[in-house]
Amino acid sequence: MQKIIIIEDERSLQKTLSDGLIQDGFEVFSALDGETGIALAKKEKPDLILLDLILPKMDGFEVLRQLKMGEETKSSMVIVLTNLESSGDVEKVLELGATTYLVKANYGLQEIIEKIKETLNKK
Amino acid sequence: MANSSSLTLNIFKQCRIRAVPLWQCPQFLFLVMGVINIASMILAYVFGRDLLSVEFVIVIVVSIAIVLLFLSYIITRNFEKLMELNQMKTEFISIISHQLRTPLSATRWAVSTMLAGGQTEEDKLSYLALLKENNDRMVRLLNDLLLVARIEQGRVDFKPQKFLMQDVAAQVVNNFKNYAKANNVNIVVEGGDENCLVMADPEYIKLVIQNLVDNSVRYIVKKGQVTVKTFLKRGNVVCAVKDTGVGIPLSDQNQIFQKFFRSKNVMRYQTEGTGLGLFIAKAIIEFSGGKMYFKSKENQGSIFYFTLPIAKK
Repeated sequence: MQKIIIIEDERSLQKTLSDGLIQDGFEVFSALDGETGIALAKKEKPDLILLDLILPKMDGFEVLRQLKMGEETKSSMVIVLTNLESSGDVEKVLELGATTYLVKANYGLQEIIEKIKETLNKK
Repeated sequence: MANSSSLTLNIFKQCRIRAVPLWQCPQFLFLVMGVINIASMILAYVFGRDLLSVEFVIVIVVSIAIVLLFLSYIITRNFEKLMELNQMKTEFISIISHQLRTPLSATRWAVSTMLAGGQTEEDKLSYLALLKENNDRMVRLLNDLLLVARIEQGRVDFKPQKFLMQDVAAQVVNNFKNYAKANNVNIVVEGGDENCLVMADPEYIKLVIQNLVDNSVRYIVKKGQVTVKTFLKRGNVVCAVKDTGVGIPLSDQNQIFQKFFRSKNVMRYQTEGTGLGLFIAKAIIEFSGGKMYFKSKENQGSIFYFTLPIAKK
């Protein structure tokens, strides 16, 4: 079973997304802030991490940087899932090592799950 | 001379910052106008020197220069204010649309999950609760906007009555207990033994304390303490909300009560926030006959105070 960690502080988004992914047969772990997310990633070594950029205490850019620098976490793919969409943000996260970047408001839940499967298949 | 050249450079810089072409930039246009005026006066003197004395021309040139400087100062200042306001509105629209996007995405996803079917009754109820919560959030945001509009038009409907400030403060602190705990913040209420009787609309005063406490809890990184204290001072009832949060940078301190303004260091920690809370709080207190002020130090914390006159028994 493929493992996914969702790092998202919005409980509603966190819940709908994790329910959807569980239904599609993934093993899902959730973190409401960056620090917990990084600790969880070290422990679980997931196939994929879904990362929000706006997080309390440590922002998503910093979380991404630390994930990609950490020996245990750098091999997990990261999809950045956010509502920020300036071209600068997109470039920055791709530069930092994210696999892809999705704007939440532009996709329905099923479309996002399809994108996640596509990304995992490319691995 | 060095002074005037740095002034000229400054004008070019100002126009560039505001992203206005030179020929539309009042600072530059006034400079050109001044130069033309003074040059034309000097030329007139050169040709008509038999008729005018040097002293007379100097007085005229200097006084016209002063008048021009004064006028250009007023007009450019207003122009700058407009540009700032415009910039803030643009930022505000992006904040509001971002704030609406999150609950909209959540409701969209929840509805599509429900439509796909296959949930237990319990699941369905939790999805309905989620829809309600996000709906409430959008309503709150729009209510804030409407309140701001009413404040600006002076149409706020206050229903003043006598009440004890410490009671309202304790009520707010109580409501925040769980939220604070979840954020690693210890929240306490102090004072309250004095008779802090005021005449105001308790619902609005509650909103003010809520806004202040909400900011305090929100902008504490990792863990900290929020203290709400009520006391009497020089014929006023004072309420102070103190936190050990990120504080407000000195450069932002004179702007924090402005509508839509959000401090730069705050944006780094949290983006939920409309930049309306303090504007609303200050306006309510001033409408109720009080004052609001604060002390803050970056990385140490802030104390927000507001006063209301003591009510006669």
